[in-house]
Amino acid sequence: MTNADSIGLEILRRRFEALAAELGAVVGKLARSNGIRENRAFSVAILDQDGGVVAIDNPLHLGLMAGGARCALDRFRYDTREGDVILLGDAHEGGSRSQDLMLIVPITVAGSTVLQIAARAEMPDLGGDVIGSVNPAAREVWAEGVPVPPVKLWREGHQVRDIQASLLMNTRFPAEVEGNLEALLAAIRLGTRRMLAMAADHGVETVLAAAGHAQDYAERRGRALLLRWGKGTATVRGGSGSAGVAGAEPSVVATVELDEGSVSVDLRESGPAVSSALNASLTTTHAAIATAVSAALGPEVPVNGGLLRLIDLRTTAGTVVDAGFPSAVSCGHVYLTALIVELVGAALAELTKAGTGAPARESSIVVITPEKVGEPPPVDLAPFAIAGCAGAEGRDGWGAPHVFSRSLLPSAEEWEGQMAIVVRGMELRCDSAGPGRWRGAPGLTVELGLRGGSQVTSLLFGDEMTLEDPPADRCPERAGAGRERRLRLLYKGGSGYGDPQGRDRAAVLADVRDGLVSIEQARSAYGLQDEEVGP
Amino acid sequence: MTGSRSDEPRFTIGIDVGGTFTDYVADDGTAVVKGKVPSRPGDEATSVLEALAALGAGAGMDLDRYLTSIDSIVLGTTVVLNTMLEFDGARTGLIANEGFRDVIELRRGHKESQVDLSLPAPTALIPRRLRRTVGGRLDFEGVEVEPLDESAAREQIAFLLEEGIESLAVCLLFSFVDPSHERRIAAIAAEMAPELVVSLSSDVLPQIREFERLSTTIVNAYTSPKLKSYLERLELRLRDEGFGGTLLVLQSNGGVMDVSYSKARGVDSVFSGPSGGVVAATRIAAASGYSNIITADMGGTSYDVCLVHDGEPQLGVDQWVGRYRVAVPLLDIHTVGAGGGSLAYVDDAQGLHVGPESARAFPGPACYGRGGERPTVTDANLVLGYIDPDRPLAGGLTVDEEAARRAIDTHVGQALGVSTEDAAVAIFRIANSDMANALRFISVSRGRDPRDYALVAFGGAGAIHASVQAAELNMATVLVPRSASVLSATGALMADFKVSLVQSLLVDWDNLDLDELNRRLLEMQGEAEQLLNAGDAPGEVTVMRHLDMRYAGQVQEVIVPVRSRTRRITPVNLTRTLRDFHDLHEGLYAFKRPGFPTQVVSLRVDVIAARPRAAMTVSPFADESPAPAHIGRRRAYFEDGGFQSADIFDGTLLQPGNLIPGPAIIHEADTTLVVAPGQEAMLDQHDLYVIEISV
Repeated sequence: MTNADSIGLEILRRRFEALAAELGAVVGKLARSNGIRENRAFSVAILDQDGGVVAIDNPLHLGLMAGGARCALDRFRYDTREGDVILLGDAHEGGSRSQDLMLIVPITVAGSTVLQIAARAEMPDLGGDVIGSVNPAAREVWAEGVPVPPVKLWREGHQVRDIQASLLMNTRFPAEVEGNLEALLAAIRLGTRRMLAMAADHGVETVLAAAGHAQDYAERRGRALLLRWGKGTATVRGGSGSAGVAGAEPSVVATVELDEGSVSVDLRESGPAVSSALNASLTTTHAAIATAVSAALGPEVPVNGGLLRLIDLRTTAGTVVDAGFPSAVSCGHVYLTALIVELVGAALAELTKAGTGAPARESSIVVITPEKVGEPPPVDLAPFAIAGCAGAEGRDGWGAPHVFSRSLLPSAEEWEGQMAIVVRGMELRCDSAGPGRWRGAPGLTVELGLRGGSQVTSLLFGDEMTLEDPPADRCPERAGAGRERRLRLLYKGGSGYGDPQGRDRAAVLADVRDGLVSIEQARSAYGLQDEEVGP
Repeated sequence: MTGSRSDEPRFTIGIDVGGTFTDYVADDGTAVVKGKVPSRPGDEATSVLEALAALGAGAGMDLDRYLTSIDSIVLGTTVVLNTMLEFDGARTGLIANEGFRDVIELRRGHKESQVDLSLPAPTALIPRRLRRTVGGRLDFEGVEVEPLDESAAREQIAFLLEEGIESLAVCLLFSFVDPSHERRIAAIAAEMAPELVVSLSSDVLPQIREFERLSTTIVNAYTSPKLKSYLERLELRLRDEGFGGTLLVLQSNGGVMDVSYSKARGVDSVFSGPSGGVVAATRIAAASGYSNIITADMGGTSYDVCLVHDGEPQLGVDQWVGRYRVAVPLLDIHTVGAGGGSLAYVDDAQGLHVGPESARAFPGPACYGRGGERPTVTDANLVLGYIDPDRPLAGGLTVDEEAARRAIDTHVGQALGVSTEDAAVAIFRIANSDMANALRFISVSRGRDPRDYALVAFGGAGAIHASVQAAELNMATVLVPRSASVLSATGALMADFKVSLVQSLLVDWDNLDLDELNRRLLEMQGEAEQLLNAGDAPGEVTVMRHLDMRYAGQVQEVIVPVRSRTRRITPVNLTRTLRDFHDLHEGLYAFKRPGFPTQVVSLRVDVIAARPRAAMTVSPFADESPAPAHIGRRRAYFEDGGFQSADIFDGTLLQPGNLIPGPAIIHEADTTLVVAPGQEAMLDQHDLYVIEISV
């Protein structure tokens, strides 16, 4: 930024960011299903003509948006007109998993596309073998939903009814899916109106220049930080045995290299795609890498297409991080995203000596699914996992890892009134926080009372779960509600940072008094002496 | 009112204690006197007494004699807000249901940033060891599924008392349906420690969603003892000095309430000061015929905006204070970190930023010459010619333009490779864009078109920036009250008694029982009227009712007014409310779903009792020519045409009816107005500057 004109572009860049946040809030308020309202698994982005992300409300989706936009552009580059709405939902064509749908709409001035607005969100179900489309046992993509290749849902301002009918025919919850798409379209229309007003006020050329400036600025800012960190290479590896899925142990190996202001992530040593749903599409992997890099760079670097330019990703097709068609991916999208962010984030933290700790941890998948169609849609319990944040230099861990803190825990009071789920309690667990000079976030015990015949689908990574009838004397019964089954989830805490022996003694004692650390752990892990304990 | 003579004037006083200055306004029914004294940090009571002494001196009386001539003093206070920023509230304990001890710490999973890994946890208002639980539970219909374990309650309260708590928050599930368990705990606490301050969630915010209700209740418990102690101390000192009138406190909902209400409801006065400015701006603009306005208060560190539609400041329920959720009805004031003291810097990718870091009151901007070396918005305004380098600021502070230039050049100009003046322009534009985005947020993102509103600017520098922002948003009019620098105190003088109550009632629209709805609303109205009667003898009483509504399955409600001419709501009123909901929804989100299942979530009742109106002077129009107030010309920057010569006016010499074409700068006592080329300013008969902008 070297002259007064570039100040004008910078002002518009901020407008783009404010608009993306505003449109995201609209989707969150209007959507029908809890995956969007509470898990907040959605995003809205402003894109340039080439699919470059100018601004986005959800950093986790930066890579997903870019992947989807690229795919739509490949399919419709010379066939996009005013009033078109392009729909995508194919894990292996610019997507993440079948139940995530994306809409892209061109913003046209005088018949030419100048910018685009896109929105994507998780649907409660899009077919497949199980209600909710999350199917750990799936071996192929068809077992977890109906892939939707790029198609036009609206054509020149008219809804393509057969496409819409076909989509809604292939979900067990058509009302929710229709309502969700309506919410995405509402945000897109609002955004289009705002962008056209901006173009009228400032001129199309200026708005386009600002879209370019936004990404150039993010790239410059990110590169300046990376240059400051110098050169270095680190290799990290991970993967997990998971409860309940035999023979499906994904292995991820990442070599992260900082060099001349860019980040190269080489995942080619990762294991082959597995015969379960624990694979990731290339788009999912790209999004996870972008999340890790964004977290390492921090809030000063805008999250947009400029940030993606800093990343050089290498994978081998057919590996677990680039599982091609028709590999199943419904669980890998969640599990591998977290694992890759954790591994690559840890490597970056090591290389940059930033003291940020691990930015993520493996995520368990627990979904309550209805017994049969006609009952309320599935409920993903991801928002209950308010645990796992690692300690970092200068602060203890608290809650969920920052990058996964977008979810909104539902209100127990609202749930009890509206759903067949009663929250019986959720409390922090003693001795569950990883010890460190800066300790991790404590883990959490969540107890839910389930009524009716709902099923629990789970894939656990380090967390524990039990499902049982409560003791008869503690079972609150209500006429007609039947006996409650008790679902108990124990989420593990975050890892600590630094030497626990160096932790401030007052902080150790405070944790003991607060019931977060037992006196035994205070002695064994933190080296607390009897004379320090006091009366 | 002992010792006063019947022929002496009787005063109503408004006082707003701010971070730097304590503003005061006195009204004797015929004229209004205003002024300011420096605030005493951490000692609001002394600041108030010094303001009163200054007023007394102006009226030729010593303090005790002046105090006997006062009917009422209305306070805008920052005690609660400061408590939530400094975290020096009462030692507080919590009693919650078993299994729900950590709700406040889990905060529904909310973190303010997903990519700022250094973001620490919020400061704990109640450490975990003081968060205790008791057995007992109600279900969502209020049916007791497990009786309250009273012996556990006694044990826990005993433990907390042993730990030295001064205040107790109690929040149990579904207490908004049936408060009996919470009430029983309060009774036990009263038996065990009669002096203990107890805040029940069913009193503070009887509304569904346990985290929001709990957080609000905890903020109340944490802040109320401090406010109580301040108000009691102040009242005692005032009474000792001879004050026999009524002491009132400005509330965050834009109303006032007496001390006995206020000291138990700290959370209700968290935005006491800012709401005063909105109330005054609303009243003053309405007197001149503007009922749709957006208020913009630019202070040293922040820029607060609020939308007023049809003469009614909009209420919001989405506020966070000190990183804690406060869900009581407050004026919907949106704040961004852009004020006169906001610091400008250039990052290593040559990006210019302004704020949110501030030079604060001390050392303040570089031009204050108090050791500040980094440039601020005020420094840019000085270099751009808006601030008169030879004219002392409020409090007698002189400015050093050379220091401002040096700071801007060193930290911005050289980094960007531009001249000092271009760097100042860049700072001015970036600050304006942040402020304009705040104006967009409060209007556009809530379904309102800023072109339908006038921008009312106040605070020290608000009127320097307003005309540029208005032009950017295509707003046709900027209004600047002559009392712009003491507007919060003026608002304290003007505000009515007001109680805002909310009560959750989660019901599908199709199952809404009109008789039950009327019964509940009348019950709430009765409760509000009872609270109001505790204050001054109320004047005309107005009741406003709203329903929080949503489409089934949504998580956020729309607050819909219920239009009724009688105490009861009729079926026709109800049908209209449903139609209004669909229309409001469409305005906010660009679509509606008539015919789709709709729910009522909460009921709201506002009861307003009018206080005597403050004197509003109406001056006859003088000649159009402002020549007698013209004091020279100065070079100043304008977006349209760059630096050019502007006419400078002494605002205190301007007369109603005077017409001032831009480019011009008007210096009022503590405020500066900038009129750009192509704009016209006129002082109207209510001491309100009206700047017309050609859009």
